Amino acid sequence: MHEYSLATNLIEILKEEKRKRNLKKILKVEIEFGKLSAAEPLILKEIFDIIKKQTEFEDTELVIDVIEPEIKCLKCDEIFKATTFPFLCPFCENVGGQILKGDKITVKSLELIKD
Amino acid sequence: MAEIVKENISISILRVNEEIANELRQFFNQKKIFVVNLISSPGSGKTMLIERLLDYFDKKKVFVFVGDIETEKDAKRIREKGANSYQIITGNTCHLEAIMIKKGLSLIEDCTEYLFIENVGNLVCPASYDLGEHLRISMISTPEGDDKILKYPKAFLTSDVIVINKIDLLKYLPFDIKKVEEEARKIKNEVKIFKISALLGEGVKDLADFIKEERERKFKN
Repeated sequence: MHEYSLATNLIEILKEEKRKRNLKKILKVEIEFGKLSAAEPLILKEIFDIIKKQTEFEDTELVIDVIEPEIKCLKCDEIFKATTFPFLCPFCENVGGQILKGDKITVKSLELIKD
Repeated sequence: MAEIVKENISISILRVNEEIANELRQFFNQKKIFVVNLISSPGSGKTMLIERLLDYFDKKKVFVFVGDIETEKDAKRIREKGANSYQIITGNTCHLEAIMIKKGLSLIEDCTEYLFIENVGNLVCPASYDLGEHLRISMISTPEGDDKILKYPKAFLTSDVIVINKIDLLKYLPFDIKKVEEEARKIKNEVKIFKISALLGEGVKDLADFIKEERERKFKN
């Protein structure tokens, strides 16, 4: 339940980008949400939609793109998708693997109006 | 007329925390302070483990930061044991963040060689926050049940060490320690596992020795 902290971080990122790029308005922010990031996308969205009302991003729409994690097998080097632990390689049935993507939450794009 | 543009960027939502954590790590490296971040559920024995670990360290060289939602109880326990401590009261935050560690840095003394950080009791959220530590330990205790590794994978996946505490209670509990070890290896094959009883002191010296060796290894040059 650290989605509140994530939502406030997101507001801070928007503030900084708006100031740095001298933007008039941010209409939309799109984030990539890895399924292994240990947070809940719907809760993040709900909290963002509540706390944005007290900020200059009242009208900013948050779009969350949930992405499937990609795992690299440590034995056969094949890449496969998995959303639960432990990772089981479908190619060689080895257990374990390195997460290539899907364990992070990243701000990917802004739809904006420049000044 | 104002034009609507879409711009692609790539910024981690935890960027601020990551930046401060890197700043902290630089500070710790420069001062040769070895930092341990201890994560577990409430009641699994973090404070007691630190109390017992202190028996194997020069207490003047250890500083302990303790995170809790409320009260100074844990910091007081550590002080009674003879080490310096700083209580971080997080209010409504369920984990420690790098900024909270930064606020306590000025308290750390020149003779400090180890900083133990006791995170807020929680196996979920602390896993996502880098505190600039060198070693992350996640702990479970036997009364919590033997299914915690797969239920809270991120904590264990991001840890260097897994501690299984309260092994003195094994004889009373349906806790399959072999299964826990196997599941831990499935999540992270190279993880170090220590089986201890902080209450009785069993296995604590091995963990203390390991922490000391890791510090030596880290700062040998």
